[in-house]
Amino acid sequence: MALNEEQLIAMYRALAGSRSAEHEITELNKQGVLSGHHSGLGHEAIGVGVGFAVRPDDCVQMSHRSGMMLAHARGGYSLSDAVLSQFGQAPSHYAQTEGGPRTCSIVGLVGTWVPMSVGIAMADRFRGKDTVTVTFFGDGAANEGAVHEAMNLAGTRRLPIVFVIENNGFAVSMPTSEATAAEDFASRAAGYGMPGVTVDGHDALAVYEVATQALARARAGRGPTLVEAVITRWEPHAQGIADLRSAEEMAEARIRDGAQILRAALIERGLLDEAAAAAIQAQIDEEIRAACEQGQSTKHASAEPAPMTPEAAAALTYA
Amino acid sequence: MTETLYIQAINQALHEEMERDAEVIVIGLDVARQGGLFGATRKLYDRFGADRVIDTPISEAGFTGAAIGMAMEGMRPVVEIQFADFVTVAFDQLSTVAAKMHFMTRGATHVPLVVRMPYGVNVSGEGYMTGAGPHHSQSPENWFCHVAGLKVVMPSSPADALGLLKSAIRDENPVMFFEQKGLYYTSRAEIPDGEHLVPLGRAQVKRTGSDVTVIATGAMVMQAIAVAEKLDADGISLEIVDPRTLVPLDRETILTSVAKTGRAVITHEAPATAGFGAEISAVIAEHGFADLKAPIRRVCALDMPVPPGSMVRATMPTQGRIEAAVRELL
Repeated sequence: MALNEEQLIAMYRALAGSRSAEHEITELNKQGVLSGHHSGLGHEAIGVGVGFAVRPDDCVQMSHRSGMMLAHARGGYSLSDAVLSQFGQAPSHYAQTEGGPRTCSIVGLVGTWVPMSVGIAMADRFRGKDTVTVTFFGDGAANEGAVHEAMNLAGTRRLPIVFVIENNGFAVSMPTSEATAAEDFASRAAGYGMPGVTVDGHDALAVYEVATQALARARAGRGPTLVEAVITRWEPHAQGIADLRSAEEMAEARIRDGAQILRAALIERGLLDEAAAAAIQAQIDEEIRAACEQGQSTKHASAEPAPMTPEAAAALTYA
Repeated sequence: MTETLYIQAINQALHEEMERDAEVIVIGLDVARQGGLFGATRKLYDRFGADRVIDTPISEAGFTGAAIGMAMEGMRPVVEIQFADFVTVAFDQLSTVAAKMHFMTRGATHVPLVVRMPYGVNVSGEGYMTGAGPHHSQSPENWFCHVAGLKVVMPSSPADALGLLKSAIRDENPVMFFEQKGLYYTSRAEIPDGEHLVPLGRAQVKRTGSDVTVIATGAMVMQAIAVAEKLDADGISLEIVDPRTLVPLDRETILTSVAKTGRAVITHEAPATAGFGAEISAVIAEHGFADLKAPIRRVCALDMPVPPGSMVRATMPTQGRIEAAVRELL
């Protein structure tokens, strides 16, 4: 389904906005205002492309890279939320909000959540829904055994699920070329009896197209798809962890820029001009600036959104 | 009252709960047409069909994780791990995902999951699976007792197998359900007519006595009762306590019994070191020390892999070893 003019502009707004928010969050980490962030710079077009393709009632298991962009693109999660969540003053993008798009909780071990996503697809099919589950993971997680088992199970049962591998070329320090002897990850799909597609993960429109086809296929009962979105990781694995790449390699990683690619595409189609893009950017910058100001001014006043006693926390161990 | 085998009780619990709730499903290896390797899921496939009795490829992490996803959506999956030993490859799913979901989501999501695990050695001398070796005979219940967020259940009789499994399926938490596979075809006893539920977290005094409390789990309950009957002739009176649920543990019943007898022997099939007996022993030492007239004794398997064949008998907690431990305390 082709996006109309209004949707394309909205997509650009979401992409430029989540890029700027992610940039700001990454900078705040570098300055030491925040800590521990796993920067998603370079991953934005994957989240936005898929975010525009899924329905609100499709269940999305987000990753720690593109999750924020995806939540923002789906709606109901503002740039302000994205920034304030880093200060503990807004819910995380992983949280299921009342009436918000359907999400699935995060798990701290990469790849471990993929069987769970398959189970959600099984539950939806069992209940006769026409929803699709989309599960994100990285090139590193792709080598975990649980991911293999999950994809095999999904293939055998022709489940309504889309697997999205965000291949940014590195698992912390391990280059993809050393982590797999295969040329790509998409070709693994053949072993599970499902189509595998490689897409330029910096190209939001291409990601949208591939995701739309995979979702339609799943919704029609024709089974899962493996999507490999290839990108470059702009930043180190996480704030505070050295990147083994040279300065030249780091600079090279930033050449492919999803926001620029979409802007150029929309300008070429005559849907956007430099002035309109600048106006959008000004709105984005203002929203992020205000959120940063609010976050930093109240950070020390209340470090936690809802302080909890250890006893109250322990009471949450069992339902 | 109907006389029923332990395995029939498991099968009956599954039938009853699947009849009661259309979102109870069974998933695992060979559970559908085969009816389970041991026969615990017999006839479920014929009655409830392929949507609710699901055979999977050999991939314990995959199908256990899938069951967790279904449970998070509000279904009530019952996973069969063909041998409890095989759960190692699904441990990440249970410990990382299932056990912590309610906590991590501040209660927004929970995981009403049951994982059935046939475990242990057949110590009865009847039936089969006497010595199935290191990879098909272990009693790994203590691994799960250490993971907050999981419940751990070990029925020792057909009636408890029925009543505890039904309660486990209705529980809102992930429940690790350890079925002593040596009992499957050797433990036959009466079960109550009608709906029979045994609440989780409640121990049972299987036999009252006054001299020594024997706290026994799984197959060791029957062994302890046999010892008690033998020692009666010598005027030694044993009280047998079966915790039935290890997590949450009914401390009160154990401590009340030890307060009465002043002596405790703990017996289980798993090796002694860091086994669940250590936890029970610590509970008694911390909360019942003043009642003790003698040291606590543990009668467990030796700290070694379960050996194949008949050698296993020499490594297991036997009636003779339980009796010796009891006599030592008097």
